[in-house]
Amino acid sequence: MTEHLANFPYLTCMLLSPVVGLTILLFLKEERGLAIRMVALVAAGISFALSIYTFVAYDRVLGGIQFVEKYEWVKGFGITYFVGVEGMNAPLLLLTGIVIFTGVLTMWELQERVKEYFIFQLALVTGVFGVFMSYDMFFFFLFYEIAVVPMYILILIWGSTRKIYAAMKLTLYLMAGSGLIIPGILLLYSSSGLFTFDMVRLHAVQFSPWIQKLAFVMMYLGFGVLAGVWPFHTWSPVGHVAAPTAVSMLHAGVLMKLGSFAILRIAMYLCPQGFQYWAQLMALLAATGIVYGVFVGLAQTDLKYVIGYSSVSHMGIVGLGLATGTLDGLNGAVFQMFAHGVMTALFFSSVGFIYDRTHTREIHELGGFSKIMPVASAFFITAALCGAGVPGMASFWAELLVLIAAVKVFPIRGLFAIAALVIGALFALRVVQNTFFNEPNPNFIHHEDVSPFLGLPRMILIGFLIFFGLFPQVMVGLIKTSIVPFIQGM
Amino acid sequence: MGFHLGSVDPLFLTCLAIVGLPALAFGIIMVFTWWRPKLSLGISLTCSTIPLVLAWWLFFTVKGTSLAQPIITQVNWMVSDAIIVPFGFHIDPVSLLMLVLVATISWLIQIYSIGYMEGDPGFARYYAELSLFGMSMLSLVSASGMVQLFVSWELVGLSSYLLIGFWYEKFSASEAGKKAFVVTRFGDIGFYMGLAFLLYFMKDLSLFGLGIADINKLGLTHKLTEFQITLCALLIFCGVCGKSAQFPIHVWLPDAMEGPTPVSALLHSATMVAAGVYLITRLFPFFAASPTAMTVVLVISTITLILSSTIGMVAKDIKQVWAYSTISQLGFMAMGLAAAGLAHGTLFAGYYHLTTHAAFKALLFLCAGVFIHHFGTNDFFVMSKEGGRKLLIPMVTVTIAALALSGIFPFAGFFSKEAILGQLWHLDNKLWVGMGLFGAFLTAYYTFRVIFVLLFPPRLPQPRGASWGSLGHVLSPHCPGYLYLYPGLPAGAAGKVSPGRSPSPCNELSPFGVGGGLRPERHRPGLAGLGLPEGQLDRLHQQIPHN
Repeated sequence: MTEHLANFPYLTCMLLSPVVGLTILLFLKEERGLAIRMVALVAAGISFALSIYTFVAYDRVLGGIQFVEKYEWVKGFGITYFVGVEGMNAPLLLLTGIVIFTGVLTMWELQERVKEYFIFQLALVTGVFGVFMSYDMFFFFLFYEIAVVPMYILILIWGSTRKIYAAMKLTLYLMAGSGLIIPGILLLYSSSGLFTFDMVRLHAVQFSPWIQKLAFVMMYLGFGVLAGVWPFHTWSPVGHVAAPTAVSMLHAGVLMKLGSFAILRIAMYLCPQGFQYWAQLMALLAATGIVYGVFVGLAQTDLKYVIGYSSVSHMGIVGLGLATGTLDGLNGAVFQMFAHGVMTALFFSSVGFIYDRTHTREIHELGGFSKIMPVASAFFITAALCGAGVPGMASFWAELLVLIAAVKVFPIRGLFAIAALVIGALFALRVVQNTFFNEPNPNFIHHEDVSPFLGLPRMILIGFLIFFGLFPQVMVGLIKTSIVPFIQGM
Repeated sequence: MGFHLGSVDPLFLTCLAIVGLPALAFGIIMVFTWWRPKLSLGISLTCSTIPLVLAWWLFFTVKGTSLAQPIITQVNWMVSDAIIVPFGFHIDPVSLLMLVLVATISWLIQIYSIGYMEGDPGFARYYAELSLFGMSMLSLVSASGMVQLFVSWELVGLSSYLLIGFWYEKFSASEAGKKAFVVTRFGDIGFYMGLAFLLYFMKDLSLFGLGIADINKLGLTHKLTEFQITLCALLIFCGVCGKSAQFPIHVWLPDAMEGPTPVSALLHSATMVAAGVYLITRLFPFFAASPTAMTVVLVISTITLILSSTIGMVAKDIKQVWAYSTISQLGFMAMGLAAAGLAHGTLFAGYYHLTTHAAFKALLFLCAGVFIHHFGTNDFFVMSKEGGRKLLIPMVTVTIAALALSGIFPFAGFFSKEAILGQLWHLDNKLWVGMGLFGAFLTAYYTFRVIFVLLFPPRLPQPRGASWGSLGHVLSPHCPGYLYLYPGLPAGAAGKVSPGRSPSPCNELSPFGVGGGLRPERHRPGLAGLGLPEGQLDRLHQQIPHN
């Protein structure tokens, strides 16, 4: 893969902007609420703007890895600071930018320990940006851990509903995953004989089949925990429910994509034969997750649990797309990572607004919200329709690509995944009906609708969903530039 | 950038305006003007009038298309590897006529709703959703590729969900909306799988964009085995069953009458439910390549026809009667198409009944709306007791529409039903034509049950004062009548249903055919006077291959 050096360190700026922001926050007093929020917003805004810039300015004709910055870090171990952008991570950087920016706006009304909250949130997002742009396995894993750890604290302090249990469960699961990832990475590192963590260089090495099989399954399971692969998904709905709104947005919207992206970027990229060997299993687990997620979601009564299980199902679509190993499937998988991220962020953002007012998320206690808060309800309903796979939204195209590719490679599993769409529609509409339609609950009738400023983050999210729903080629064309050489290299 | 307009083709831009303007209206109303009812109405009406004019303009000016040689103008919407999705328009006589029909009926419903929905708190939202529906339906009938058609198909389902559940604070309404969406989704999943299998079978053929013309060629050139065609056709037929409310997933349509009455007229009678039958028309050569699939269609549609007619005979709610009647007529159309497929006929009969039915069923619903609005009840026995027949104009128009629905000469229904029965007659097994006749008889029975109950109440008290309704209210129901009910158009088109064949035996057989064995050609005069598109229909007819 060709590498094109950057003429300006865009990626480092994107990465460091939250770090600078959180450093400034450390020196601000807790009482200066507005200043704290503004610093967080500006830090997130700079990253957001740069992520849009890299998405738009990436030269699709030139291809390869662009905006590359490469500095040796620890020569003895072969660790380099190597970041870059190509078609498959540009959408994910954009996604992270969108979600952190709208996340800060969503948490504008937070009152409790505002300073610490934004510090941890910016630390978390630094890790996420780092994972998506790194081409060095050491940095990749380092950023991965940076992204996971602040989650524990964020849920523990600002969470709700069994937060201690959820934070503990989440962290233990993810640590267990890391316990599988490290040996996998070290196995590849030591058996390559190159003493380098540089993925592009390691890709040129032909690992022996059994090393590939072993390393692949370790990394697949390890990263799969974070990607919410059935049956290792159980931490995720619990975690979503307990986390505060913007953390849920980041968590479901971006963090789960770290796992699936890592499977694509490290496991499949470096161990193609291992992938061929385990693809059947991947498809089976993914299809099971798709069907299981919608059925469990159907029985939930807590709004956030419903969204949590819909995430399990939608992440199954990503997994299924990866398992096909075809151009269409991988295009669809990356597109679905992006589309699901924006959609889930919208989901949690809308629920957060309602929960902040009513202090309940029980579906049967809510009801008739369209009468009380028409705008806030419209945001949730849009997300639900997107989740139900209505065309005109980004996720329709992603699902189309994955499902059609899946029918070609795994016909039976593909058909099950398509059939799950009906249940998906049923459960989305059931929630919408019980929460937003029918007679309003008199207890909540005095609440005011969302103001234009607070509605802004949701409008941004809907704008992206609809833009990529109407012009899918903007996204697919970009993703394709990196998937084509990726498939050829496999 | 992968997304670009190829060459700027004026026809493409015209079609894009027809499809895009209502979408624009939906967006503007939903984001900016949802709290300003009058302004939203203005936007919505503007964005439905321009497509109406453009659609008629295309109808009269586009020359040189035929079913065999459609004009296809498209750009790439999404290009992955094996999955290529074009966005564009497939212009041929069938889609041109359908564009005009959909644009006209949506426009009339928008006019009618000004009075019907006046003062409703969701007035602006209502118009936004009508615009969304208009956009998706127009795109559905003119789509050049199956994926675009499927997208529009789903969007039609979405807008129907929103419109049925329009009064969402009512539990029954939100329940009915959900039911409609989920039940039709069941069918759509089959459709989805059908498309996936089609791509699966065609995986050796690169650059296969699932274009409608390409799929029809597959049917004609036998590139696929018959089993493969049958499988795909039957899966796609699942989608048809859902949308066109065919047995056994017809259950959503009667519930869907919870929506406002103009919506029932627009979605659940004239346009949306016809989408399913329209899809069979669109893919007729493909379906016809599989006799097995066509036999299944024939059986399902016959069951639908008889079953829903018998339910319609006992319903007390006037909208329910029309709803079941719609189901049965859709079954009748599908029978016509299936029979044509089996007997190597043309798609003309079923498609023709689709267009005539759209007009008289919209009229029936709009008249029902006037009655319901006036008496505040859906039960036509109550309406009758309270003096329903005193509403003169609606009473006259509902009777005219009922005559057309029952297939009485010289109204449109007579000619289109005759055409279908003519197709059925060509099947070897005469059972089917018998079932068709029986269904037609049941139709006449339940239709005139409503009319007679309304006309001859058991005991007539003092009427509550006859109402003429608001202007738009009273006038717009007539328009479909003027367009389609009078003999010109049916005579012009149906007159040549089966040239070169022996005179259709159904003329003598038909129990409702007052005109008996009269050949329809003699009744052509009405046409020119009304300025109806005689030439277009003749053209449509001539271009259908006769084999």
